[in-house]
Amino acid sequence: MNDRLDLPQGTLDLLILKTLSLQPMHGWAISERLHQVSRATLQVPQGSLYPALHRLERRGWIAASWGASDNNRRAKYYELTRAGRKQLAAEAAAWAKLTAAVDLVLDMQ
Amino acid sequence: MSEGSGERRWQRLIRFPFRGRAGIAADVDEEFRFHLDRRAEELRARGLEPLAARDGALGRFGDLNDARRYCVALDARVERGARRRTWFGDIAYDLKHALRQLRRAPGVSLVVIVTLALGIGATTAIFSAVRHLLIDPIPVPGGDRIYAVSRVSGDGSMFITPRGEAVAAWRRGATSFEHLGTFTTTERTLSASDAPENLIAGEISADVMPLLGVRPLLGRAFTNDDARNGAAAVTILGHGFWKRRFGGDPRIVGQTISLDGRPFTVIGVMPRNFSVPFLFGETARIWLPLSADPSVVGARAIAKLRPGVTRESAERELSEIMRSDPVSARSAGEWKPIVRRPQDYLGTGTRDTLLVLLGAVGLVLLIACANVANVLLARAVARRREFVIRAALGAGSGRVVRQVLAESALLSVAGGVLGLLIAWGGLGLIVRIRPQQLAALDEVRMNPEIVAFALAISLVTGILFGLAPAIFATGRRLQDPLRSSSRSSTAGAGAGRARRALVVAEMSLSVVLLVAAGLLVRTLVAMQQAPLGFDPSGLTRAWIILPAERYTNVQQRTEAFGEILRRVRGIPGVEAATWSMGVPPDLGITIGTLELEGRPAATEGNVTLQFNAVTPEYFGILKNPIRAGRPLSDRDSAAREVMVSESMARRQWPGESAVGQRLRLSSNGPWNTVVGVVADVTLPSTGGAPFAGGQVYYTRFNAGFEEATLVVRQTTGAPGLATALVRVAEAVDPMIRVREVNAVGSLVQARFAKERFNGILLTAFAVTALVLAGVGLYGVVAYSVSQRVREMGIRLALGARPRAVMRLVLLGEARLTILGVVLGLLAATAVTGLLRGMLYAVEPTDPLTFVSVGVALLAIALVAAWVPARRAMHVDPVVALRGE
Repeated sequence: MNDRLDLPQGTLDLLILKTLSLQPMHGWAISERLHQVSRATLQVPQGSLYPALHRLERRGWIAASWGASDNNRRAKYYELTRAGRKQLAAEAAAWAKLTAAVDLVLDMQ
Repeated sequence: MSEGSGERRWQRLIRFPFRGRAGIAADVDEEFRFHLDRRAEELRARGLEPLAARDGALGRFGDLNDARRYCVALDARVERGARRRTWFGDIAYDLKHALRQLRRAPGVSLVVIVTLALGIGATTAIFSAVRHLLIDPIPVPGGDRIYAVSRVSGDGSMFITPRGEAVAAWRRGATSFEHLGTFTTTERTLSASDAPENLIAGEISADVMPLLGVRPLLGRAFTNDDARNGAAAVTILGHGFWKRRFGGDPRIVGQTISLDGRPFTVIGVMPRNFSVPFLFGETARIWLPLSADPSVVGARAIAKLRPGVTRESAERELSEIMRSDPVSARSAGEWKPIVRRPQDYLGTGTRDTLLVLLGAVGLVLLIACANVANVLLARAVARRREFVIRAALGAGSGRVVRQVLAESALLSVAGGVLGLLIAWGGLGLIVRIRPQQLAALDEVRMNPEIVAFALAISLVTGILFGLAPAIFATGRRLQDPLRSSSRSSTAGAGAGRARRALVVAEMSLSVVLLVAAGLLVRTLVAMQQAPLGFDPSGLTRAWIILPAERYTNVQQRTEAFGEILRRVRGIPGVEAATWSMGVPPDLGITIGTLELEGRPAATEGNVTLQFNAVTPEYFGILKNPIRAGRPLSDRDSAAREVMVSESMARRQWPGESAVGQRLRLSSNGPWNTVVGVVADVTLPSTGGAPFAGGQVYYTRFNAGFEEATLVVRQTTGAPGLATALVRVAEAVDPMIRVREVNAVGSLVQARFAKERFNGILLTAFAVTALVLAGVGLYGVVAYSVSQRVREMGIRLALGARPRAVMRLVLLGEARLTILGVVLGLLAATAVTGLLRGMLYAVEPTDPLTFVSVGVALLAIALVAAWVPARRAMHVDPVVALRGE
C-alpha cells in the first residue's frame, strides 16, 4: 500500500472530468477506472469522490441521471456536459503547463 | 469500460418532478449504497465473509456520514435553483404562448384591452381628483398640519375671514402654531405702454411661504419689513407671468415694473404653480407682500399647527386669546374662531358633486369589468375544446390554468398601461374644464395607490372570468366536448346564462348613467336658455377706481367720470356706455326692513333685496325691458325715485299697480317713489332655491363714490376693449385704476361652470358605458349566432325565409335589451334623487329624459345586434349542415 499516492489538491476534479470524457459512468465505475488506469497508483478516497461528483454537477460540468446498471440495479450515471468538456480542456492544459514547469525546475543542474 | 457501456436508456427523472429534501437524501443514499454493494461484492468475490466484506466496503469508503451530509446539502441547493429556473422558463413560455393566442383573436383582445383601459383610466382620473380634493393633505411637507382659520357664526351656518385685530392678537399670543399667515387677492393694472394688462395679484404675509415650505425660484421671499408702511414697493412674479411677459429672463430680478402707475421692484420669481392650495380661487399672476397690520380687513388666515397640536386645542386657544384681548373681545360678537381643513372650503355642494362623479365612474368600472368578464367568458367557452385536448394530451389542469392566467395577465397589463395613459390625459382634461371652485385641482397628480387599486381590479376580473371556464373545462366533464361532434353542445349553457345576465346588468347600469347624464345636460341647456331679463351679449363691464387722495370732492369726481365716459363712447365699436353701481351677475345685496307706504309695518322682518344704482340709460343698454311706468329720470333729479323688479312688484302690491307707490328700506329713512317696473334679472342656479327677493334700482348718486362700474355695449365683438379702456383711463389720469374688465356674457357663463363640468364628465362616462354595453351585447349576439349556425342552416333548408331567421335572432336579443332597459330605468328612478341638488328646471324623474334614454338604448342595441343577425340570415345551409 505504500506505493499509493494521495491526490494533490484539486486534481480529483480533473481526473473525474477526464474519466467521464470517454463515456457516462456511475460513481463506482469512475472509482474503479481511476484505480485501474493509474495502475493502482492513485488512491481515490471515496469519501471525497461523491462530494466532488455532486459539486461538479452543481457547477454544470457534469450532468447526472438515473439508469440501469449492468446487473440491473438503479444507478446514478454522470456524463460530461459541454461546459464540462471546455473545463476539462482548460484544466488539462493548465496541468500540462504546471508539470512541464515543475519538470524544468527539477531538471535544473 | 464495461460498467458504462450498453446503458443508453437514460431516464431523465432527476429534474422533474421536483424532489423534496427526503427524496434528495434517498437518492444520495441509493447512490452510495450501490457503490458499497459493489465493493462488498468485489470483496466477497475475493473470499471474504459477507459481514467482513460489508465492513471492508464501509472502511474503504471513508467518512460516509460526512460525504452524505455534504451531498444532500449540495443537491438541495441545486434542486432549488433548477426549480426556479424551470418556473421562470415556464412563465416565459406561457407568456409567449399567450401572446400568440391573443394575436390570433385581435378583435377580442382589443375589445378587452380598450374596455379595461377605459374603466381604469376613468376611475383613476376621477378617484385621483376626488382624493386630492377631499382626502389628501396639502401636498407640501407637513401639509397634514395646515389648516384654514376663520370665524363661524353662532349657528354655524356662515364662515367669514377673521378680523385683523384677532389675527394680530393670535400672532402675539398663540402657541399652537408654527406659522400663521394671511393672504388675499386684489387686482392690479400693469402699466406698460405697449400692452397694459389687468392682473390678479396674490397678497401674502411673510409667513405664508415658509408655512407652505416654498422658496422663490429666483431672488428672495417676502420679509415682514416689505409690508411695513413706507417700505419700498416690491413684488415677486408668478412663474407663468414671468415666462409670458419677460420670456423667463432671470435678469428681471432687481428691475422695476409699474403697477397702477407706481414702480415696484421685482425681488424674485415664484416656482411654477405656486398657490395657496384650496384657498386661492384664482390664479395669481404676481405676488405682493400683505401687511400684518390689524387694519387689514378681509384677509384669509392659514395656519400650520405645531406637531401634536389638535384642531380642537388650537380653537380653544384662539378663543381664549380673543376673550382676553380687549379689542378682539369687543368685536367678536357671536362669532367664534374655527380651524378647518382647507378642503372644507369647497362646500358641501361641491362635495356632493364629487361624490356623484365618484359613483358614476364606479359604475363605468363595473360595466367595464362586466364587459371583460363577458368577452373572456365567451372566449373560454369557445376554447373548451382546446383546453380539453391539451388536458387529454397530458397537460396538467394546473398547466392549463396557468396558461389562461398568463393570457388574462397580459390583457390586464396591456389594458392597465393604456388606462394609465387615458387617466393621464383625462386628468389634464378635468383640470382644463374645472370650474372656478376647484382651482385646487391644478395641483392634482395621479395617485399611485389608486392606480394600483384599478390595476388590481382589472387583474382580478380578468383572472376570475378567464379562469373559471378553464377550471370548469378541465374539470369533471373532460371528454364531453370531444365526444359530441356538434359545437352547439349544451356544455356552454351555464356560461351562456352568465353572459346574458352580464349583458342585462351592463345595459341597466348604462341606463342609470345615461339618465343621470341626460338630466345634467338638460340642466345645462335649461340654464343656458333661461331668460336672464337682459341681454349679456356684447356687454362688457369694468370697475373704475379714482385715487381717493386726488379726487376729494363730487365736482372732481363728476368731471373725471364724465371725461372717461365721453372718451369710452369714442372708442370704435362702442355703441353705448354708462355708469352704474354694479352689473349682473354681480349685484349688490341689501338686507333691511322693507316698509310700504299705507301698509302696516313689515311683518316679515328683514328682507334681502338685490339693489343697484343706475342711470336712465342703464336699462336700454342692458336691454332689460321696462314693464310699466317710466325709467328713472335724469341723475340730477332730486326726486327720490326707484324702480322695482316685476316679481317684487307683484308680490308687494298684488292686484294693483306698483307705479306711484312709495317704499323705504329703513324704518325712519325717506320715502322713495316707484316710477317704473322692470323685468326680473335672474341667474339660474342649481342647489337651493333661486334668489327670490327681487331687485330695487335707485338713481345713481352724483358721483358720491370714487368707484363705479362702467357698462359698455359694443356693436361688434371688437377685441382689445380691455386695453382700450386702460388706455382711456391712463389718458385721463395715470393714477386711475381699471379693474375686472370682463365680458358680461362670460361672467354669466362662469356661473354655469360647475354644471358644465358635471355635464361633460357624466356625459363622457355615460357614452363610455353605452359603448361598452353595445360591445357586450354585440359579443353575446354574435356568439349565439355562431353557436346556432347549424340550427339556422336547418331552418333555412326547411324553407324558412332569411328574414324570419333574422327576426328570430333579433327577438332573442330584444328580450335581453328590454329587460336591461326596464331594470335600468327602475334603478334610475331610485338613484336620480341624489342628483336633485345638481339640477335646474328638471325633475329627477324627468319623463323626457327617461323615455329618450330608453329609446336610445333600444336603438343602440338594435344596431349592435343587427350585424350578427344579418350574418345568421346569410347562413349557407349547405355549408352549415356539412358540419365541421
